[in-house]
Amino acid sequence: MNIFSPRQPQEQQQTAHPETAVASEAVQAMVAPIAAERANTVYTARDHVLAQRIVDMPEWQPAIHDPTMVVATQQSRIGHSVMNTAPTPVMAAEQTKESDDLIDPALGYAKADMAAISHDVTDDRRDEAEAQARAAASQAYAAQASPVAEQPAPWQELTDAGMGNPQVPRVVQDVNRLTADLDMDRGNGLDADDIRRQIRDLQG
Amino acid sequence: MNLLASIIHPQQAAEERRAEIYKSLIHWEGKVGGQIFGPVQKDGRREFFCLDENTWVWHEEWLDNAGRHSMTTRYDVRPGGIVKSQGDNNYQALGREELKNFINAVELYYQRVAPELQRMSQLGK
Repeated sequence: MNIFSPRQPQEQQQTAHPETAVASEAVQAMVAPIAAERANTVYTARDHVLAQRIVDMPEWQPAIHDPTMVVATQQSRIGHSVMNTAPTPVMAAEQTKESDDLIDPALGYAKADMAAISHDVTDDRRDEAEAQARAAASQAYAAQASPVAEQPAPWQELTDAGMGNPQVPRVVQDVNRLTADLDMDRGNGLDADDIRRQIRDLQG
Repeated sequence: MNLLASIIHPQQAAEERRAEIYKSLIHWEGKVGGQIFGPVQKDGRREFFCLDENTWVWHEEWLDNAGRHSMTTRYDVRPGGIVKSQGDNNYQALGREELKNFINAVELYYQRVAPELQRMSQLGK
């Protein structure tokens, strides 16, 4: 099973199905730096968190079972001014229980921090971020995935500049003119076969 | 590690502490990352996280009639592209659709996780 590709047996993924066809080297080369940059940012930020906890906050372990501290840490992080007052034990207990569901209790303040983060990522914010990210990623990918398609046809600039399309066979223009002539001559004995024959003659 | 051990071997205690927190962070990130792909079946488990500067990991556990299964997929980001490996299989290239979904997932993961990590790193400063 695969969350990144359409769900189907592994062996079917090896076939040349359009949706599972191997991405081109050009596309790969454009996507890889994005994934690397994101990974590097996350990895660096994580390292900073670790450094902060180890070097600057050696005292946080003893307070791990103090539920008030758990909530207080969350409030300071979330920045809810309404929670300046000390939380009630019930709140603290609830918060601690939810935290226990997320993180190993033995990890102390790390549990509190991460529980706070988890609570802080509200559904609304998540939905909004997801929508924005999807749109941005989709646009970025579309722009990167098919650079060739974005290129104008060789003659398009000329056409846009009013110089006509040098690659469109002259025959087509002649056919258009012929059709107009035929419209004018309609009823003068020309039938469909005549028209087709004349067009064939023009097309060589 | 107990208090006595941390006093006698402070460096070791710090290292172990760091390893614990690292593991905990990864676990949290994996949980957040696993939510990107929608609901997981009741008995299943899904984690998607950044392991290091060049590696993304997707771990999935599920239950079916044949029993419990698990699959860990590792995505290696290389200068010229992204390859994946599953179990003992050799590296294989990503399909076009898979690559697109992967980069979307990376972007969503980044949007959710990076700000929180940065905020955590500011604590106590």
